[in-house]
Amino acid sequence: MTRKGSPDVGFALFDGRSILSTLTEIDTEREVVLEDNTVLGDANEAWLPVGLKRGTLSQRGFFDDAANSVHDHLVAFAQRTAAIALEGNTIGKKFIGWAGAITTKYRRIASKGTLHKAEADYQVTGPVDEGVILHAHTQETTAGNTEGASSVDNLGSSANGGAGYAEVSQLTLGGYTNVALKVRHSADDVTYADLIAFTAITTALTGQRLAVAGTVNRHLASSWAYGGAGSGQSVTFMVGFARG
Amino acid sequence: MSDMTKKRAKSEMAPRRYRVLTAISYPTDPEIVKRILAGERIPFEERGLWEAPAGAVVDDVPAVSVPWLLAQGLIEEVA
Repeated sequence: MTRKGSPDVGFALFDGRSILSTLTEIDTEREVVLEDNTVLGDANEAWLPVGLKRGTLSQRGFFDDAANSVHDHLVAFAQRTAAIALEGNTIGKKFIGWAGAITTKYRRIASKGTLHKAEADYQVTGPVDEGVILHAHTQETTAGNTEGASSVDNLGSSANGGAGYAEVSQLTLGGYTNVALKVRHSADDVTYADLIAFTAITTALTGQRLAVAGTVNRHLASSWAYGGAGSGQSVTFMVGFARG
Repeated sequence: MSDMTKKRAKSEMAPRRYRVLTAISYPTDPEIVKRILAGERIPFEERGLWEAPAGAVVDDVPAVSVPWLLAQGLIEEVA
């Protein structure tokens, strides 16, 4: 086990909105729902899982009203996909993905002699995924992929599908029509096949979660390509995948 | 060797062709494939990847990949 600290937090993205630079605390929780199964005659309490899991998410940090920063994000009270990396913004590191994080409480705190604070609670709807980063939250100016030197080796395939996450925080198309992001997989690290093709992205501040069923091969990678023609293009994004 | 035998020999030597059912990418240089199979981590820039979209017919898929691509229904052999 390796301990991690606040410098390791790599990104906090909500439908592409990058709010890491405003945060001082993230609190994420997963819970298995149990029901009291104790009946007459029992000498000890008994509990059984009902088959449900639920998650909670909350944040604390500084108030910032810059465009698309934390205030714009929270005051919308919207449901967004979210991806947070507690272990670093590096390929192969883990991230937590939320299919739907709904802002339910937004507190703005002003106190004498301090910077304003912003705090929020989210209600989590849908799955919470434990994934691995396939493309760090960084900028790319040309098409490419992580097959080969930067692919992620799971040391074996898995049979239960999974979910891919794509979070785009900046996009300059420069005449191109879109950028296509994919998750790819391979049994041998030689040939890669599409596993997930995210909906073509035409604007920034976008988040997607797509689920896939069936076999997921041992090696995972991501790819990105611009559609059409243009110049001066760039995209800043993360792609990750959580095996089922 | 008769003409018929020569034709059969040539046919047997011809690379097998596959229709791509799900987009794939692979290095076309056999030396690169050898290095990957030997465990070398080769950067994207050196791999010389070929991107084959769904529907394409190809004859240079690395032999090592053909069995699992067929088994998973990602390519099919073209007669």
